[in-house]
Amino acid sequence: MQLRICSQKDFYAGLMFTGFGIFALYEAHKYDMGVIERMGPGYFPTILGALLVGLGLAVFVRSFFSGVATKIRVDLRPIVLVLSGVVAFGLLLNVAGLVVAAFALITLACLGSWEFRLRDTLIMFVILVAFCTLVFYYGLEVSMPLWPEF
Amino acid sequence: MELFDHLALGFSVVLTPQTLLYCLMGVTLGTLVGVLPGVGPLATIAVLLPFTFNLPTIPALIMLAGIYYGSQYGGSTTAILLKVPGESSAVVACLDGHEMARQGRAGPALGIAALGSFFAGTVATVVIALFAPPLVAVALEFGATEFFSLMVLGLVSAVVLAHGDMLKAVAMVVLGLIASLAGIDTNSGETRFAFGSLQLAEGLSFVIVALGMFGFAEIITNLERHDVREPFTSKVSNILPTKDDIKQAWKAVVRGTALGAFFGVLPGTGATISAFASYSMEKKIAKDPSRFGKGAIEGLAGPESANNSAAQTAFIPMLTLGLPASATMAVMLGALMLQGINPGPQVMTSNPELFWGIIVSMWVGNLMLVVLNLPMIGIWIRLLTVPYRYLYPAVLIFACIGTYSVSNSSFDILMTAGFAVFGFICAKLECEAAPFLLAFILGTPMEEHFRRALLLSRGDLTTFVTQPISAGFLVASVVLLLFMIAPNFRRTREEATVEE
Amino acid sequence: MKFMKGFVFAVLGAAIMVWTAGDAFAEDPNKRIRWVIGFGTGGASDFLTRTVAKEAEKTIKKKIIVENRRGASGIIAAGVAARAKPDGHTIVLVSTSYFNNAALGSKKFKFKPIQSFEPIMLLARTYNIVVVNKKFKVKSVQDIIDYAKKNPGKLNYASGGIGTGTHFGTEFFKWKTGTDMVHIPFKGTKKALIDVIAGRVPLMFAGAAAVLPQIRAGKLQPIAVATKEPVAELPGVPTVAKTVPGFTNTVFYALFAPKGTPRDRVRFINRTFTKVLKKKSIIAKLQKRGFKPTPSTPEGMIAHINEHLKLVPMVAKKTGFRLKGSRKKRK
Repeated sequence: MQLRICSQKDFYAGLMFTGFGIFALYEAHKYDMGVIERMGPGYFPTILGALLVGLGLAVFVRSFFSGVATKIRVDLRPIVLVLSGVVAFGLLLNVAGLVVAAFALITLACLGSWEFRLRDTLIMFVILVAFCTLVFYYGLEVSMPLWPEF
Repeated sequence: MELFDHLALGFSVVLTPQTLLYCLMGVTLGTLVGVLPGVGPLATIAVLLPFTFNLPTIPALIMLAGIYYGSQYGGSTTAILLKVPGESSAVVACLDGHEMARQGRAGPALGIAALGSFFAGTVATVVIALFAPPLVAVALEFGATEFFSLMVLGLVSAVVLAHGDMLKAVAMVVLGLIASLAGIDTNSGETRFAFGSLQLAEGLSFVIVALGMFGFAEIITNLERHDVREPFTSKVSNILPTKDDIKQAWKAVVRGTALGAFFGVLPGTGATISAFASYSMEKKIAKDPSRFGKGAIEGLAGPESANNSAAQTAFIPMLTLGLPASATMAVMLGALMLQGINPGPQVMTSNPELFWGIIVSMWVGNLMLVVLNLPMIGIWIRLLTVPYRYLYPAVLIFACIGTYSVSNSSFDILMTAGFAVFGFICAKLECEAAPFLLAFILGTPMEEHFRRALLLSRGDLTTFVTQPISAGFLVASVVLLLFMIAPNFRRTREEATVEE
Repeated sequence: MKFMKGFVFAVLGAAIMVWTAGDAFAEDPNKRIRWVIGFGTGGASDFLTRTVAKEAEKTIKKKIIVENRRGASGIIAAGVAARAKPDGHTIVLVSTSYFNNAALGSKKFKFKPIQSFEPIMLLARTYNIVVVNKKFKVKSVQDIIDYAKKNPGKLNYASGGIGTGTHFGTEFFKWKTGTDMVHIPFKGTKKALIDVIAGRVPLMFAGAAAVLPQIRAGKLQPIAVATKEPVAELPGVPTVAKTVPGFTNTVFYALFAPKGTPRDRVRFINRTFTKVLKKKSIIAKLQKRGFKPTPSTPEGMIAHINEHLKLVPMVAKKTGFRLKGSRKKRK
């Protein structure tokens, strides 16, 4: 039997919810359920997990029969680049200091834009780092290193 | 009347050049720091706290209070312009407020937020002056049962928030509840959903989830849609709200103010719930609910007013009982105690100039905010004309440093990226983030209160309906739920007939 | 035109960065001291830290930056300090709950709880006060014990959370007095106090810093203090020890530096803070908040810690005191 998916978005959404629900149930079973007067840490997650699985399946099944049939369009370049920048910043900040981390963040983030220009990026880097140093490091005394420890 | 004497005392304290100056500094600093994406009111106050150490008591506290409202307002600005909520109560501003900004109506949006907040602040000041003791007495009546039922109402509002698919919205709510459970369980001390990570064991911070799902995901989606390049500069019409805008919005402002004034007194999520409740109420009362989510001005005016009046009444339990209503208030309390003041009922009688001085400074601070921010709107709009490719890296780096500065944790930055991915996926799959976020805020407190209520009642479930206040909230939730479902049935039936 | 503006800013920015680069290469005599604490901004412990820090800055002419890293009873903060350079510019403050975790072998530690550090000194102590709601008609510790014995399993008590000093103290009390009371945990003492004041939970062994203002305002009635001797802040209030010999319920604050910090730097900080803690104005300020300054030697601190480490497992074995979990074990 040929089952045609009516709504691609709902199809994946249903899968996602069901997946999360099952995951929640799995985590929840590690904990004590307890009784109603003294509910254990496993009680709520189990109920919620079960609920989510139910809802997820409902969305999933429904995706075959109704819903808006727009295709999902994804352009991976912005998200991959911007988030690699953020992750790089997070990893580098304490290790290599603000300047290096900011360089990584700004360069990668700018690369994520369709309007990327190298010169603009470098100028922005210098200005933003100087500004952040003044405002956050000196002004607000946030505790973070500026440069790597040599 | 005694009230005038009190207010006169307060004004005499506040209207000295020194105090006014510190109030102004506080409001300005608070706004500037609060505007930075990723830095919400809590972080702003925590970070600016040391500045107040070396000042004499009253100016220090007034400056601190100024920082507080300034940061609230700065946070709303970021929520409207960048869709980055600095605090849970700002999430609602991200919805219709940001939409208004996208349609070139950033000016009116910011304007109505400022004016609504000022109105709310004024009313709240009067409320505090007149009703502080009875409000506190009512707040004390809220125990675990009442809080749980209140949050049920909040959750139902969360689903009302959704404009699209109900089924997926409910699923997002449940998912948000589950995400909220990550961390240490109060009633048992167990760590849940932590996967061995110490930081996760402390639970996920709201700012991180909101910044990732709203702020970062927004930037990424903007970058994807090349053709929506300068989203704000397309048609920057008015700088200020028009007469029509005000006519549409003023009732929402009044309703929001009332909601916020009451809920702000309740410890915990009072302010947030009031903002969401206001939004739901406006959406349900509106003649054309479909406008909501697309830039309906009531959807911004109501919640912003609720937000601000709640922010002020939140001072009541803190000043009169010494018990902070939220994490932000806890920091304020700490600041007060660092100055050697011990809040409590005796504060009103032993340090009246302090108590009334703070209350009057609230109003003065709000006034300064309006005066400061209305002209600033022009600057913000100008800022928005900066080409996006310069704007978003700046937003990113401020947000990252801001997030880091809250708990000095790089892990937080990584978590934000994680939630950005999740937010991105949800956007692609048309699963709405707002219900998730609200459920996330309410999840753990709800569970905690539910379990404690049952602990105290020794397992008796009827306690939720036998306690009057609790029963009231539950009834309201059911009513709201029915309101929601009824039109839906009609709509789906119409859709079904059309399909045939 | 735009380019010129950008260029000018860029040059300015580069200049600022080069200026700050000096920091990294030169040995900066004005380097800040980083004081990591396992507590949140604005709380009582934060108050203690900042009070001491502000005063100390005056004598040593260096900036002390307080870094709040709350979470996991101070384990996160300690972890940060354990990994820091042992050059005398990083110190960390933790309190009793940290050692409760260490004593019960908590798996949260990714380093050695005590051996990863150089002890500097004990800073101060705070204590718990037995308070009851005004509707609960008891006047003394003995009344509470009698009531509990007459109504086993009925008397509720509040705590600021599982594993905290407020939980530990009450369980310890239950053991020593043979009473059965029901634990109602809250997320923090402040939240717990709301319910005690409102009358929903009648009893709590509450931290002085949080509860003294409530007592002064007449919202709660102090029955006894859990210290060896009565405190100046509450004249006329007896100690729990009078009725339950040997009972105390205090929280102490311990100051550490990363292992390998040179002895002279440790001594320097010890001397500076001791001087601060002996100042009359500081003592008064701290006492009002419920703290008692207890400057000590490094050795004194270790001795005190070891004493506590021996006590905790005993209490855990005899009572319901745990770091987590209700009754059943994890599967």
